[in-house]
Amino acid sequence: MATLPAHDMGSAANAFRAEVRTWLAKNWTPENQAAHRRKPFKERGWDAEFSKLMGRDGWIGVGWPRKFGGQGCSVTEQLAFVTEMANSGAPVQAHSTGESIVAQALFKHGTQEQQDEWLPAIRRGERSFALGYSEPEAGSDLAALRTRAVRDGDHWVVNGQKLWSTGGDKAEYIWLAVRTDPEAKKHAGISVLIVDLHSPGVTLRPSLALYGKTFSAQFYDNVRVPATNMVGAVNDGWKVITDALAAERVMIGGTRMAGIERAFDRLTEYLKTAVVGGKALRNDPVVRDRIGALAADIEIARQFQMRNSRLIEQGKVPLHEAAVGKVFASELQERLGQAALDILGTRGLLSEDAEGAPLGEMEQLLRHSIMGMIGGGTNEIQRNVIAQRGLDLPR
Amino acid sequence: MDVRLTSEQSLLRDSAAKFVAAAGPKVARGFRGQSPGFAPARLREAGELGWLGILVPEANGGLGLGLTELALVLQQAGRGLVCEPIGLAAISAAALAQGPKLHPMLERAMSGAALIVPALQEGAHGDEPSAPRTRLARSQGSLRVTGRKMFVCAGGADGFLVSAMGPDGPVLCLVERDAPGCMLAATQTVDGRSLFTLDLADTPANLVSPHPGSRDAAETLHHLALIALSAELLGVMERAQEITFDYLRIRKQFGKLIGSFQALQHQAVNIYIRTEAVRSLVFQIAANNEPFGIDPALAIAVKAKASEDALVVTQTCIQLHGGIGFTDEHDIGLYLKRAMLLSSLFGNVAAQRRRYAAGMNLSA
Amino acid sequence: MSDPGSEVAAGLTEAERDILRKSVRDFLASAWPPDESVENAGDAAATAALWRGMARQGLTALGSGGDGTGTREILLVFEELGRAACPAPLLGAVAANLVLSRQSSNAAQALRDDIHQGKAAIALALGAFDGDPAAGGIVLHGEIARGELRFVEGAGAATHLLAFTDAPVGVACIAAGAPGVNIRPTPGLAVPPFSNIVLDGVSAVRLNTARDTLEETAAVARLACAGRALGAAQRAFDLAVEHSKVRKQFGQLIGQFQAVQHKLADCLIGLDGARLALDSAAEARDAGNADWPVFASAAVAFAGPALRDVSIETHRALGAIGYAEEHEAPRHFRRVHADLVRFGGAPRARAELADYLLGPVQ
Repeated sequence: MATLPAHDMGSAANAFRAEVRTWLAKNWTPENQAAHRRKPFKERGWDAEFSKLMGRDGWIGVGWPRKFGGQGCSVTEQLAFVTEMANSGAPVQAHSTGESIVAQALFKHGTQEQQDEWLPAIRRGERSFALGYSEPEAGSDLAALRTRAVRDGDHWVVNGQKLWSTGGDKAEYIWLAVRTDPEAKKHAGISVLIVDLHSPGVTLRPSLALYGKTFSAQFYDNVRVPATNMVGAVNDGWKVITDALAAERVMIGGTRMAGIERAFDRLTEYLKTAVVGGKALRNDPVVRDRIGALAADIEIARQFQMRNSRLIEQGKVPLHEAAVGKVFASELQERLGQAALDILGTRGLLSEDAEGAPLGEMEQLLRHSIMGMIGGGTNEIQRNVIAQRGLDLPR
Repeated sequence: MDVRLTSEQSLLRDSAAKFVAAAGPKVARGFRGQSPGFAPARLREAGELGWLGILVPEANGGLGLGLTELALVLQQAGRGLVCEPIGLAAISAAALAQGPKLHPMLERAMSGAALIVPALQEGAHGDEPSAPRTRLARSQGSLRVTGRKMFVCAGGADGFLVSAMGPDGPVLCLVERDAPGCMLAATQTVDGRSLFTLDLADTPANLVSPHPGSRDAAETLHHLALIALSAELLGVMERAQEITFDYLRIRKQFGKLIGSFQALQHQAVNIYIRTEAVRSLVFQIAANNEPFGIDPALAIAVKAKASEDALVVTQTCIQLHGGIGFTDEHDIGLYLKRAMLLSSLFGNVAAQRRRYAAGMNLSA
Repeated sequence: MSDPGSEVAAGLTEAERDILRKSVRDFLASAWPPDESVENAGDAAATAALWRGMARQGLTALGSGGDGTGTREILLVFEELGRAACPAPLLGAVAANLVLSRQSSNAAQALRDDIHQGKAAIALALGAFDGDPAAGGIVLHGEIARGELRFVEGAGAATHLLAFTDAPVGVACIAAGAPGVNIRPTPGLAVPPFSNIVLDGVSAVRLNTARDTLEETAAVARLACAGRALGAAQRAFDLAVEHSKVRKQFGQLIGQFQAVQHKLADCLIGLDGARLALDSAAEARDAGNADWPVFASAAVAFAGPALRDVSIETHRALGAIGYAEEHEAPRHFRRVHADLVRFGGAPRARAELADYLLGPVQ
């Protein structure tokens, strides 16, 4: 395999990795994979049944603390896990938002009743979530969100609009950021609700994203949400959101890195034998120079990722360090997509399933990279974070 | 930079802009995944306006204009994400009219009644146009071609201009779609448009005579294609940039217009510089070259530059839009996808640079 | 370190490394103060005094092993040299220590002792092992050396020249003042300047050394120079960050402008990436990881363009203030560029990675 030498993740992580592989070999069989690939591209990656299978065998919440039913794995083991899952291409999106963002928030901010109600179901793969953060007027400036929730007896009544919720057309629940105090300063008046997407008054408008998968907009018209579904105190939502996000950045980064490395390995593997115009492509000095540069960048992205895990294992929260990793890896993904297009030529344009597309994922990788540079806080915002938090530059 | 245009050229550009006003992203979206992926009636309309014969001498029924005029029309086509293959049809008609003897297909090609497109590419990585692997041979008194052409924009086409190696060197010949031994296989691309693999097995063909001033009609057509695609890419990046700059002027975040943030201003300026550079190059080259005597180095250079910059510009445009730019329903993504398609046709930036280096005797 | 590459888990603990870093930084701050470094750089006596001081600190023994230091510590000290814009001839000493520690001859041991005591200073020429095809080389006939060596650093203050040769494979040790040694400084971006050394039938002591050792030593030298460039780039960047927190234009601190913030954010990505990767490569060598050259190639391939960008963006943030030669920043600019282009620079490192992934060109 044409790949960079792996960093030793330690014996515990290596053993854990082997365990994951064994499970995958049994449960993510070639037949399963073929069936999954027969689905339209936009449906792939999300499979409620597979999530339940993972839940049944304890593969959801491996990084959760044991008291919440998790395996209490270290960050390194979790990274090994997400890498294996990403490498296998197994669909994890149906449970991943609940497992990561929602659960993280519930650990810290949920009541005992909420923890008892939601965590076991998430762990069994029986609850799927989308995130309801962005709005037409609140993208980078998330705190400008306007979707309102007003208390009415035992319920909150929600009105407003959300955008760009990945999986929002498939999920059962949404993790919704709402404004509960319009008078308060921007960050102060926000709360978080878990909302059943099948509630009366919710209208979904699914749409396609640039990389060929779906996301959705939702309209909320007097949607009644039980007050017990508010996570964290009223008007304390900003903290709930940012805590959960910080905790999850590294795992999201791990999945991204695995995708990048897999695509790069496939590209180099292809180059070993590709012949163009009677000449071996691998001998082309421009191709070699570019592959060398990308390999170096991949090593750097791994280094950033390892630094983030070290910090977490030391009990710190990587903030600007996480932003550094995100900016670098997402822009690397874009460079890799561009390089693949240049190296593969017109064939690089062909969609994944097209005939004669040996590396059909490449054009989708390029289109996906744009989400990496925008989603979860644009790279412009990340650079603000690096400058203001990492370098202490004035606001 | 404003290209200095004669009043006739301005009129032509304006009429192209008017034509394009009826196209645009919404229309382009409707053609995704469709066959043939454009409206034949609109192609005939372009024929009536004379654009398909824009390079054809007046004496032969064309407009007898030059590369500048071709570029002006295709720039507009790029701006409007026009799906009708006006550029490919126009250069094919020009190719049919270049020789001393008029090709019988010329008139229908110019009117848009028949769509003839180039089928020159044989590999994914761009080709040396004067060394096709497709073979032309004479058998039983008629000419026959055998070989495989790739990435042909064959949707709705009635015939192909195929480059082939004949007994005396490279030639260009016309193959009709319905000819025996002519097989097409479609592949979907990122743009939603299909590209085709054209397999020819002992297929009847007839020769297209080269321009008196050039030795190889296939090479001439290849270079015309590079200019045509570059002009269209220019239009794609121009329009994407306009849409983006308009958005920067109205979108507010953190209580300010996002166009007031320096980080975004500087990115906007960087793509503006790239677009202007491509514009200068396209029109400089168009003004200083005859359609049948294009300097190969310049044709290669402009396609390299336009292919690279169009991708950078359209991607930056999406980044400047933020989340909304990533939605399929927003138009800006269509410009990226069109740029990806046009950049790769007839060789992407890497392929062009390789050929340039080879031509300069720089390659190993 | 008695046997390059063979020992396992050399190196200090993090706490020990912090102490080492602080002591080197403090030493250089007094022995080579920034405000005197320009005039000192041209003063042979000042450099000699500095070298004796470094010997007292034990720094001239770096690379010999025995004190528990490994590749990471070499990197650490070079980073500090870069920060201080200090031209101490440590590269030659480290290479000599790596090579001489395997030699048992009296001459070799005597030279090693002289280096450790600061009596000898070594100019290093990697010759055929340099990686830059223009670096020249020498040929040994018996004990007589001939040839031309280019881009040699520290020749001005050197007592000895150590030249690697592949004809035959080994190291030639030559007294700098021996008859037939012609040293000419070649001014340019590097300060102090590199030298051209022509050897016209010079008597040399030949040290038989395995090819592996020479290659490994050359690789450590490459890593060390990248570390020195990192120190220089980091120092210039720190100055720029401080500047942007106090300098006002258009009524606000320039560090408030997004254009400046984002440039400096990108610089931090480059600096952190280079540091993590260089350190990880050094750590891999210290741990006896056979893949360490791949990690070293990746580190150098990234550090080359990234640190140059840092150096340039630093100057853009500093504006005209940083463009005056009396400011510290220009020295760092020169250092970064000079150190990163040597030994084949980033293009060679990228080629090595391509060799590893795709196999050699056929």
